[in-house]
Amino acid sequence: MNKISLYVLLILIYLGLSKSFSPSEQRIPYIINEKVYANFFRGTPLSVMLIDSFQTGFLIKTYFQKYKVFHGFKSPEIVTVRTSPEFWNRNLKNLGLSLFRRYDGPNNTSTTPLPPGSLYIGNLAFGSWHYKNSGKKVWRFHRAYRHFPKIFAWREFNPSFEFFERMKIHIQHQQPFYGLENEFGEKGSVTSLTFNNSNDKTPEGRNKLSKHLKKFFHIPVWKRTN
Amino acid sequence: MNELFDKLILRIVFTIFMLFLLYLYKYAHSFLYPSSRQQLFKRFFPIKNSPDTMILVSRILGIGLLFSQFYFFMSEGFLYALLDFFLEASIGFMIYLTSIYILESIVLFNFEYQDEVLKRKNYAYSIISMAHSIGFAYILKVVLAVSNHSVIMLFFLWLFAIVLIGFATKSFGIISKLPFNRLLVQKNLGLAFSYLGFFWGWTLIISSSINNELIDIRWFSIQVILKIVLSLIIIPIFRKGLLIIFKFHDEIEKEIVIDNKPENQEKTLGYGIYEGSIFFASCFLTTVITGHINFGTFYPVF
Repeated sequence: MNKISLYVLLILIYLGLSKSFSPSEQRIPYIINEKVYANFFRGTPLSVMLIDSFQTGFLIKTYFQKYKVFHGFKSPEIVTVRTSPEFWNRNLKNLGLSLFRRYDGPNNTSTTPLPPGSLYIGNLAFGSWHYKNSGKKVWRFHRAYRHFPKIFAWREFNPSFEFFERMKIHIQHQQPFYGLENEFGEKGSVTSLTFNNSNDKTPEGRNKLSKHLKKFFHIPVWKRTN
Repeated sequence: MNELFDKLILRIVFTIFMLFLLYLYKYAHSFLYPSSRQQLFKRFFPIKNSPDTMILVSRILGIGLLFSQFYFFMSEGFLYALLDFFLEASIGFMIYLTSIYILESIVLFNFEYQDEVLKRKNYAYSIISMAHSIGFAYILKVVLAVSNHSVIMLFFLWLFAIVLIGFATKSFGIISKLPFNRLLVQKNLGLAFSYLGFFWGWTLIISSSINNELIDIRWFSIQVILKIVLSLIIIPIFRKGLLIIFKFHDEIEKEIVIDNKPENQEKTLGYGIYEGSIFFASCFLTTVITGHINFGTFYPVF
């Protein structure tokens, strides 16, 4: 019994020491759910986009999310956080979406998952509505913000007025919005062109084994040629 | 061709220089061990006293192990290379001999070299002394590598290593079922082999724990302590695993251990070899777990 207690004590000492000095434990902030966003991310206007979800560990997993944080008037920054498994799983399908936004004015935060850049669509300080030749009303950023679509990784996507209207309904009902034709999100046609989901379990992994085993059959060259 | 010939001459010069340092070692040895002065400066007959031969040869082996760590850096010239080597080697073997002196004072405080080796020809004593000589040389070799030519760091790391190995030797009574002092008086070889495995096992654990890159002292100390604690967690798992896999009967009656009959000596020899080997194998396997797992980006650091 004494031996077992001593052994358990040793394990606890090891884990305690490791936890106190582990770089990942010390440096990475922990975000349990969306309620923490408002205190964690500072500044306005602000939009936080989920660009990757991944997990590390063998039996006991640690869950991470990578965000791209857009401040209105400076370059975006990448932030990696640890999170809870529930929140991580809940947001897997929200890849490429803006999970948090802060506007100017009262009741100024929103945690409804929306397409990136939704904070600025309809805000006349940043752009205006234009009619295309087809008669469709689309959003266009002012000259000073013409680089925004590139930052939001919109590619060929151009938000229409219908998109904007639908988005407002989703905000009202606090329901995630993936675009009129599911352009955004894990399986979104626009998102999948830009972001690789580390958690994606595609059959590509099968080729990895044969590549990995190749090293066991490697024979060095007889003579090196320059 | 000239260059190749020159390099060969240089290598021979270095060889002679190393032999010269080994000659100096004799003096250092007699300074710390006045009782063995005659043994070193008179003609030595290996066939006369084999336990004594074992001790002397193991010390030479230890010094050889220590010297194998050194390098000659020729970029700053021949004399500088010799000077560096001379300084490092001199400090190295002074520290080495001091360490053995301290270790033997801790472990063999009840026994005298003159009585046990020269008079009683106690093989068990010689094997234990050999374990210390070779084991600590291995640790010191790692300490020299980690200290990276800094004498100050060498001194502190050496102190750290000697404290660790000092504590480790005290755990023999907890780990082994063979009473140390009683069996050493009886010249029991089982005890000697058990201690040999035990000490060399700890040598591996400590040297593997110290063998980290020394960039900042705080992080280095944390890594060493964590590795030792981790080793203490892993060793019992390996030991228990080996006992289960190979169905070893890990028991020896107290009467067999205490009684000095010839048939009992054979039994304790078998048990001692088993105990030492299992502990050594467990420590060897533990170093793989504590030092040879490269997690790479398995756990990314941001």
